[in-house]
Amino acid sequence: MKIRIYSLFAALTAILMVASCTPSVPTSPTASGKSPKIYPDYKEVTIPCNIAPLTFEIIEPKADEVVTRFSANGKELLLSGKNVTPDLDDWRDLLSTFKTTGRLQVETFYQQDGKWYGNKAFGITVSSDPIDPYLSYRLIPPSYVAYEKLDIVQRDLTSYDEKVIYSNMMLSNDQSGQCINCHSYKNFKTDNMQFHARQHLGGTVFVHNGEMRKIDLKTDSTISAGVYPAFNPIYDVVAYSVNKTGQVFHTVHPDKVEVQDTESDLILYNPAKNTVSHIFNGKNDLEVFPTWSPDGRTLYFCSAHFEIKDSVNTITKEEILRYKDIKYNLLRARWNPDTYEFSEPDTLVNAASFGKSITLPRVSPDGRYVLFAMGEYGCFHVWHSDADICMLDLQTGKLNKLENTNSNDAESYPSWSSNGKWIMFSSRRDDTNYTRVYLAHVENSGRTSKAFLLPQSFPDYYNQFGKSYNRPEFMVEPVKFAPADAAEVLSGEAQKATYTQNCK
Amino acid sequence: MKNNKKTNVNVPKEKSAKRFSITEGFLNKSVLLFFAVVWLMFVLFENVQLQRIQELSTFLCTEMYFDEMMTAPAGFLSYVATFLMQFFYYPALGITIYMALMYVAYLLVRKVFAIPQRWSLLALVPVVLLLWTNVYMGYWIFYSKLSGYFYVALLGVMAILLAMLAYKRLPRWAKYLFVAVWTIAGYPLIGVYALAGAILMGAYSIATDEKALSRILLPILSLALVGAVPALYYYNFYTSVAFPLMYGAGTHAYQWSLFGDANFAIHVWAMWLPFALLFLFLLVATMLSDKMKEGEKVKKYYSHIQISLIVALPCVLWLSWFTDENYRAELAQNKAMWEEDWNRVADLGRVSCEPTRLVVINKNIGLLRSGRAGEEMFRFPDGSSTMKSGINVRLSQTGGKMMYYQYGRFSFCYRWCVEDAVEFGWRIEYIKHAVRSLIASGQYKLAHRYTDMLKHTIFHRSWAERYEKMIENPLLVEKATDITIPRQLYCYKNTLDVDESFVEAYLMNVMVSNLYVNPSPLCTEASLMFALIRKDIQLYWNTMVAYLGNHAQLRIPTHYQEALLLYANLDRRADISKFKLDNRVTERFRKFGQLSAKYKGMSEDQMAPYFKDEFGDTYWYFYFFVRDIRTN
Repeated sequence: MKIRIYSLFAALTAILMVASCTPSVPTSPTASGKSPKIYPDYKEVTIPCNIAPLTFEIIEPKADEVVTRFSANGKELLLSGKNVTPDLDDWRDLLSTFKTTGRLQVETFYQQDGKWYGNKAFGITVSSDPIDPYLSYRLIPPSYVAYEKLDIVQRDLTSYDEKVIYSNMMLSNDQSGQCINCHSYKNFKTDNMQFHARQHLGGTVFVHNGEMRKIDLKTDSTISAGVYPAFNPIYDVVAYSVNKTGQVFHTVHPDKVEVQDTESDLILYNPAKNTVSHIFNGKNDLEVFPTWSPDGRTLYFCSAHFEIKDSVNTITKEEILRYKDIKYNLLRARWNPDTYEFSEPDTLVNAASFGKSITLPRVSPDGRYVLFAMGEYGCFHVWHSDADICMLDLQTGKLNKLENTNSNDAESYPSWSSNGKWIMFSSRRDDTNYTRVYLAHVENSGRTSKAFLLPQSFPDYYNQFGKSYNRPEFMVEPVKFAPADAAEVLSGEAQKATYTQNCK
Repeated sequence: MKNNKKTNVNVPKEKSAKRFSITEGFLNKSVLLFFAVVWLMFVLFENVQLQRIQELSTFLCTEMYFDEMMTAPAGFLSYVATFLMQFFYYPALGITIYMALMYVAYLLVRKVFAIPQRWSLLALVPVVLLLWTNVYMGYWIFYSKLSGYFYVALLGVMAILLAMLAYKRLPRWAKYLFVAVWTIAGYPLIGVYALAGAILMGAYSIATDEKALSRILLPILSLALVGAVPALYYYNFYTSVAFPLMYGAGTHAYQWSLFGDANFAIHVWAMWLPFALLFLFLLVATMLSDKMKEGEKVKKYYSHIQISLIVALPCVLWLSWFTDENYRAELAQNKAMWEEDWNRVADLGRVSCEPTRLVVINKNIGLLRSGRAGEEMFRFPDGSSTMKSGINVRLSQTGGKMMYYQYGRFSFCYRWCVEDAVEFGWRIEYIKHAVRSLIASGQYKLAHRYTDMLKHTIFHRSWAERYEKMIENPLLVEKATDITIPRQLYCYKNTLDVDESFVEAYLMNVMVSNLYVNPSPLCTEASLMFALIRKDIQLYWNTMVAYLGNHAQLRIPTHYQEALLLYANLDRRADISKFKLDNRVTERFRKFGQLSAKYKGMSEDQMAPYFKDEFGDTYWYFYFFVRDIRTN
């Protein structure tokens, strides 16, 4: 009997404790008449139905208590506190009610001086278009020249799980550092992928049909190893640019860094034969950022024409003095998969003619649109506050500036999800220097929604996290090798690629 | 050894031993005196360095900071160590905590290895070695990438000692389990100290276990764990450490490579020495503990050994203590600059040896800001002594950020904050420089990010809040002299540029360039100072004209008059008759000319001593006889 009474008492206490922790919506709160200020700003954004919970802070400095209610399709989720962090299962449960695209209503209430207020509700559109489950990026401090710890990481977009694909620290010490970059995938899958390592034990880790090896893409006939890889989605070739690059720094301007190519060509790599050949290497042309059309028969790329005017100067010095004159246009060339030959390129967008510079093009999976970053000059828009993401409609030739999606700060590195319904890009809108991943929905008309910040497990995450997200790339599956496997491959000898006139 | 409590020391009957009668009371007092003296030395002579060590570290009270620390083996050790390092904000408090823990370590050594009172000085050996690892650092305080390095070894050794204490009391069967759990669970937390502990446990079994099988099996198990555990973690868990370095996690192994440049390797061997000796001590003590008998010979020489320890231990500590005058001057100048005590910044430049460039540059900044440059700039010791260190110390990393900030080069100040943060993590000092330079250049949004970071610290929150107010209300910036005065030099056109890590040389070039728009009086004076150091006639005239444009109504300071006379003399086209010069200066210049004529035919090196006494405080002396200065 005694035990029963104790059990009952314990159960009652537990119920009371749970009840006291469960928030409730205040009855008849006074309308504050204002829209809540939240960070990150998820108001009126469109999100995929399979995204991880959006966490945000309600900025009401004077509020003693805050309650948030998510409601949709007869279901609701109540949360208390200024930090809104929905549980993963509850969130999935709520989003599972969206069989078609619909609106998730978010109401926020706060108590101040003993009185409850209700803010204006805002909506989040939940799209029935799912997003690719993974994305990968390089985590790098927003540095100038120095580097230390760099990680290429994959993130599960349906949760907050993040795993290291490879970290340069696995093969580095203070005297022998290694830089890693340019992770890239064929068709969003990981059986054919690559990333580069430079300096210590440098080379390209290349996964070809599931088999990992280390290759050296630098040949005597090309100016560097390949960078900015573009896997052909159909055929077994990869296009790269090869560059000679330098960095200089603004003495006043807040854009801080300029990265300039003094030489830049395009090459084609045949992984089956481990051979490379030139695609374009015009004397005064800086060709860079190759990308393929979905049918694998057209190569899009950027190119700037730059000639030395002052014969006394070197190209490096003149580029520094005339940095605003370097403007990249968008070009394309047809490729014949039977002969491996390219047609003469034609200029798709002559950005220089209207004082702009285009970088990092990406063609939509349906082949209709080309996304790219466009700024005033140069090739390194991640540091250019004037750079925005733009979309060219290849059917109509119309250039859409995506004003709904861009910000006043630097936007760069756009890419498409595998279903073409989502775009992702890097943006520095949060604090002007740290690059974050933003996502936006693309309607059939090509219109994009207000972009939303990649959600994290707590709202202050990005304020505390001291690294930039570099080269965000969608993936439909995770990388299949362990970091130590990549380290082992990189520790070994590289297979040196050979140069041929035609790498077929 | 048996613990002979309450007995006077059994002094051997030899005459010599009687002369050195050592009682337990004397030993106790000696030990306490040792700790007190070391504490006092830190408080009196190292408070500035301790504060800087703290500024070059960061402890953030956030979950993310903890998680980041735990991404490497020994992360927990570093986390606790970094937490403790922040107390050096108040050097006396910080060093009290440090020495108190050191005393606990001393007691643990005695307890674990059953060192009797009469041999208690032996327990000071690891204490001295632990102190050595820190007092020897010098310029390494700028370069160490081991978070919490000041405490890591101490805490690591304490963890080992506590584990040994428990291990010794366990039954044999439990020892197997303990060593396994200790290594597997301890390695992620304390890294190499868990491995060292496992080795000591194995060694203890060899030395003390009566069962032959255990004497073999336990050491084998220990060594197997030491070999296997880091490998298992490498292949399955950690991605932030190279495989060989897994066996050095929690030490400076990442930086102190023994196999590299020969000069550096020698330096590094010296750095590793106290750690090696420390491990050796613990190993020997483990092997000898519980079974060592005091032999007749030891008894005979007991007093000699004690006296040797009393002499040797402080000597070792003293010899390992880095006491470079320039280093101390640089640290003190840096502190005074943050406190805006410009007279002190300048006066600290009066070192008794050849100064480093950083001391000279800081002194010049102090003189410029206190308005004494024109009168005193060449009355201080000058030179370009190499910084005393086995590593290549770069000015950009020790004082570059402050220099750029004070000369209004905010973007380069911020750049070096970021560059160094990439290498060494965001340290308090970098964050503060970043905040000030970003506010000074109007980049409030970004500055806010860094004040936010500082608000997660214990001791720098109020500093952050002061600057946060300026971010929220930029009008308040106008009242902050630490920002408004450097901003008087922020009046140049934007260009693309690089400094190649040569901060002073770069500043000298840009400060005398023609990129300034409406330069302020402070700006023109700074430019003139650099032009004088450059000893370039054309630059001098350009900057002097600009200076005079800004200081028309004022008396020309002595050094600038000296330069005027000298350059007018060298450049016969110049007419300086309209300038009002002091009679004393013109008279001295005449005498300088006479002395030059007297020693005509001698080389400058031969002439210099004859000029030093009378003209060592003039620009003329600097111009002709102070040469081979290596700006960097």
